[in-house]
This record gives sequence, structure tokens and C-alpha cells, in this order.
Amino acid sequence: MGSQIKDVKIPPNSPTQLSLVKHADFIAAYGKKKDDYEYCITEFLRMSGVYWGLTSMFLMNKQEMMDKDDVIEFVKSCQHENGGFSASHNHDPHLLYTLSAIQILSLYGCIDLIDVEKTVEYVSKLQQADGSFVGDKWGEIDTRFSFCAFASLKLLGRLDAVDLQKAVQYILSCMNFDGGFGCRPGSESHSGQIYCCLGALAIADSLHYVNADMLGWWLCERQLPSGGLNGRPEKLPDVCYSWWVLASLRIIGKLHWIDKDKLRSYILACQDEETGGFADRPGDMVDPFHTLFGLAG
Amino acid sequence: MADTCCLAELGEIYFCSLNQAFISDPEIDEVDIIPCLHCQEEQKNEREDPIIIVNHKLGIKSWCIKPLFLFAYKKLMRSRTEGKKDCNLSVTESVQLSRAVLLVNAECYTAWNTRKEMMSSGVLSLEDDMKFSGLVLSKHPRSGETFAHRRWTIIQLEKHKGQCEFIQCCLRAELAVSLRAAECYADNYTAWSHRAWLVERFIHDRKRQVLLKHLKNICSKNELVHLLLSELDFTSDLILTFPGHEVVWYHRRFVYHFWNERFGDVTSRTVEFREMSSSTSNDDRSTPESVNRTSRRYSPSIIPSLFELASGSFKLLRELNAGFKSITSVTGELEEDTLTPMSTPSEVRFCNSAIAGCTGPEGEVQRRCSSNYKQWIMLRSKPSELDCNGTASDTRTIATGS
Repeated sequence: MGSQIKDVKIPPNSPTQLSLVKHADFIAAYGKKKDDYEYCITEFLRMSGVYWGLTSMFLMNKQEMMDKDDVIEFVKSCQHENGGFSASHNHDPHLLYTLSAIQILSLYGCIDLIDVEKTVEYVSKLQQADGSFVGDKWGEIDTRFSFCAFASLKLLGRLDAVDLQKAVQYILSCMNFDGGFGCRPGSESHSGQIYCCLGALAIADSLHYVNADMLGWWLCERQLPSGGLNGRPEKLPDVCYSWWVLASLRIIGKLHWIDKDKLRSYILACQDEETGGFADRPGDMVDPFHTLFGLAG
Repeated sequence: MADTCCLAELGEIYFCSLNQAFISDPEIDEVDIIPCLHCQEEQKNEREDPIIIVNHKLGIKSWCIKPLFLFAYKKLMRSRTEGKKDCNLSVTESVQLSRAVLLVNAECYTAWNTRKEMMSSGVLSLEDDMKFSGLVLSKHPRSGETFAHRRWTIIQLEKHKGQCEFIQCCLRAELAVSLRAAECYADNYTAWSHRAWLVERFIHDRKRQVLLKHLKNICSKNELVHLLLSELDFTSDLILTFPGHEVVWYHRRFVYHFWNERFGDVTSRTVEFREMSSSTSNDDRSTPESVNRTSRRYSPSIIPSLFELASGSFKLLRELNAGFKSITSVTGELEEDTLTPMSTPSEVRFCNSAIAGCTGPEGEVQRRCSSNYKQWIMLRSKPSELDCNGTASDTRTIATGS
């Protein structure tokens, strides 16, 4: 218990330059990979996977490397009769993948290719009497879903379709003594959940409810001596938090509270120079999720 | 990789073996994959059984996972094409296929949904499904989809049995299942959130009034003082005995916050930053207490587990509950004097003693925790004075420990 230090050492020969060409190749190749098992085992989040890949490509200005028609065709084919989108064919509609689908179409600027009204109806029906949102018809509640609903409706220009005030009240009921947020009232603060709650509050113009000093301090304490950011106290650093934490700090105007140079070298060290792509920590396996959040950071 | 056709056939064989295993031992309570990195030979022998059961623990050999999953996943998903849902699968097949899929990939939400549909239509028993999702948690203790599915099933069980009976016959088991998952990883977010949900729904809701009455009866100001001081001592002891643990410092913040919410910290507003960062060395290495701590730190048998820590808190609460009547006699002295323990100066003093004599990597973390804690207290007590521009550089230096 006493001796384990929860941080990583960046190996001396780690990458220090951003290899954009490699990352674009990595994402492009990932989309074409047809290994049956890999494909099937990740199919339950395909829609989000496509969004992560495509956003990475857009960030690198390499979006032409993914086949636009294929992507749009795939998205359209995942819309269900109730208006929601599923992660892939034969899967069930869910708010998480509905947001990813809307984000993909928004990136391409062709949101009008789907039945927007039906989608709005699907999202707004997921709001509960207490203001919270469920993820699908089975009723799981989570502040992540509040964010998904707000972001979806904002992109569709239909925030008026839900009760914003009640939704904001629910999010605030998930605020903790440290200024952070958890998935439900009383749940521990978590960087990913904080991003969702702050994002939702920002969309609803309600950031004045947030204690920016306390929350900013909790967030910048996520930076470890290696420069990397973790998601909660005593957890290992992970590249994806460079997005969740940085974006959160940006929303509350405290970005300068962390050491940018150290974080930059940590993120760069998580690249795989041979295959392209980013991993969670230096030396680990790369994937599109961490590639997007590394690039975004 | 062998060609897909053979894999599919093999997958069906392994699928049958798995089903057979659950028939031969209906009491399977734990599952895991047995890594067989060097059993190419074994794999070639198709009659080799991929399943091992010992003492109700199910082991699946790693070489059968891919074909097994592919077979079950494709067959299950094909049946869900919109318009012809479940058209060609029997209930037994759906139960077995979703079981094989979820044992390998617990995040496959659509597979969980097929089970919810079967429970809704009454063809799959809620209890059987609870047993199965418990089994999945033994292999995937952090699976968010599994816990979400369990919450849905619990709500159905509650509707079915009524809340009283659910609490009597299922709540204890549910707490045990989630504690087991929580103990696999000390910081298992999904498992602890699930437990918080249980408490909120079944203990808080139903006993709210009882609890409130209870609290009103037992918690006078002095008693709360006693509870918080004991908790403060508890964190002090842990911090000094096991230096370098951010979570204990974090808990101390909660205690500090809770105290100051109720009793206010009059002294903190007058303390200057200079005083907070000054290090009046308060080395306690030579005291008997610290010698005792050093021996505890290096003796593994005395290091408390999470479970012991939890039961330590329960013990504390029990003592609190039982001991109040006797405490009231001494609480006369506890008035103004005891408010100083959780004041800013006393916490600064504690921080200085916590970092004194702390060396090595643990000491480094301890120093970071300590200065972050002091900075947190300052932020908390004078938030309005903290202008981003003014304190940016201080803040950065302390938080990253550079």
C-alpha cells in the first residue's frame, strides 16, 4: 500500500514530434480493417468509433481519406423508426449513438439527410419528470445522457424541445463538495462526467451555477508529475483525459492552471511512431479513441 | 487465422460445450478465461474440451474465445434485424447465445436488451438473469452495461415482489455482489455508483423518516463534533502511517469541508498565504507514536485492506451510536475550544508534520498532496480574492509538484 506511486515515467526515447501523416494512415487503415473478430467485438460502439475517426481526420484536415458516401450511408442505415440511432446494424437505438450520428452528419454539413423531427422527438421523449435523461427506453439515468441530449438538440437547433430549467436542476443535484460532478446524485466526481455536466451547462447558458475556483482546482490537480492527466485522485494518467479535463478547464476559463508544456510532451510520448495512433499511456496499444483525444488535446 | 467457415463450425462446437457446462453445473458462480498461449497443439485436437469446471468455477480456454464469440454474436444479431425480431430463435437459443456473447463482451448492450425483452414477456426469470449478470461481473467487475442492466432487473424484481420483500430477500445479496466487484478494483467507479444507487433507492427512500428521526435524536452539535474529530484523527493516522496516498488527503478535505459547513472556520479568513506555505518543521520522527507507525508501515499483516477500513468506519459509527449518552458528560468542555482543530492554522501544522521526515518517492507524493491540500483550503476560504491572473503561476507550480 505504501510504496506504489501512481504515475508513469516517460521513456527517454519517446516521440517528441507530432507525426500527423502516420496518424491519418492509422485511422484510414483502421476503418478498412476487416478482421472479423475485432470488427464484431467493437461493433456495439461502431457509430462513436466512426465519429472519433472522422473527427481526427477533420482535425488533421485529411477528411477526404474516409469515404464520405459510405459513412453517410452507414449513419442513415442505423436510424430506427422511433428516430433514434443504433451503434450499428441490428443493434438497438441509444442516445449515445444518436449524438454520434448527429455529430457525423454535422461534420459533413448534411444533417438534412435524416428525419430531423423524428430525431428531436426521440431525444426529447427521453427526458424524465425530474429533468434527468435516460439513455434509451430501458431507463438507465446518467448525467452523460443529459449532455448527449443537449448536444444533440443544440446541433439540430431544437433546444426548445426539452425542459432546460429542470434538466439543469438535475445536473446541479449531481454536484459534489469539491465542485465536481458524478453520474448521479451522490456519485463521486469524475473527469469524464464533469466534462459532460459542464458541456451541458454551457449549452444551457448556466455556467454561473458552477464554483469555477473549486472545480478548476480539482481539475488541475489531475495533472501528475509526468505531465499526464488522470480521471480521479490516485488513478494513472490517460491521454483521453487530456480532452475531458482540458475541455472542462477551457469551459470555466482556467486552462492556464495546468502546465501545458509538460502535458504536450506526455501526449506526444503516447504516440506510436511506427503504426501511427495514440495510446492511453506511453508504450501501450494505440486505438482511434485515444488518437482523437490525443489530437484534440 | 483459419478460414471463416471452419471458425464458424468450431464456434458452434465450443458453444455446445459451454451450454453443456451450464447444464452439468447449474451452480457456476465465477468465470474467467484461461490463457493458453502455447497450446496450438491442444487447439488442433478438436475433441479437446475448451471448458474446465472446478468447484463451481468455470474456466474457458483462450483459444476458443474468438470462434465461440463470432458464432454466438452473428447468430444472435442476425435474429434482431428489424421487422423479423427473434423470428428464428427459440427462447433457449436466445438465452444461451446472449450468455456466450456477454461472457466475452459485457458491453454489448443489445445482447443485454434481448434478455430484458425476454424478461418483459415473462419467458426468462428475473432471478435467473440476476444470477447470470452476477456471474458476468465476476469476469467484468467494471462493466457499466452490466450494472445498468442489473438496475433495470432490480426495478422489475421490486415491482414483482414489492419493495419490502425485495429488501428482505435480495438487498443483502445485491450489496454483496457489488462489494465483490468493488473489491476487485479499489477504485471501481461503476460498482460504487451502483451501491450508492441501492442506498438511495432502498435504504434512503424507505427509511428516510426513520433515519431523520434517528439523526435528530442522536446528532446534537457536540455529537457531530465528536464524530468529525474521530474521523479527522482516523485520516491523520492513515496519512502519517501510509504517506503518499492522495485519496486519504482527499477524504480529509471532505471532513474539513463538512466541519466548516456546519461550524464555520473563523480563523481561516485572517491567515495569510505566507503563513500557509511556511514550513515550521515539526519533526516527530523520534516520538514513540512515529516509531510505532514505521513498524506498521512495513508489516504487511497490519496494513488495513479496503474492507477493514470500511468496517473500521462502521465500528466508529456504532461506537458513536452507543456512546453518545456517556459523551454528553464531557461535551461541556468541547465548546469553543474544539472548533480550532479544523481551523486553517491547525491544518497547516498538520501538513508540516505530515511532510517532515518523508523521503523517497512516497515523500514526493506526500509533499504534493500536502501543498495541494493547503492551496485547496485557501481557495475554499477566499474564493472571491482568487483572480485567475494573479495566482496562475503559483497554482500551476503547486498542482504539478514541479
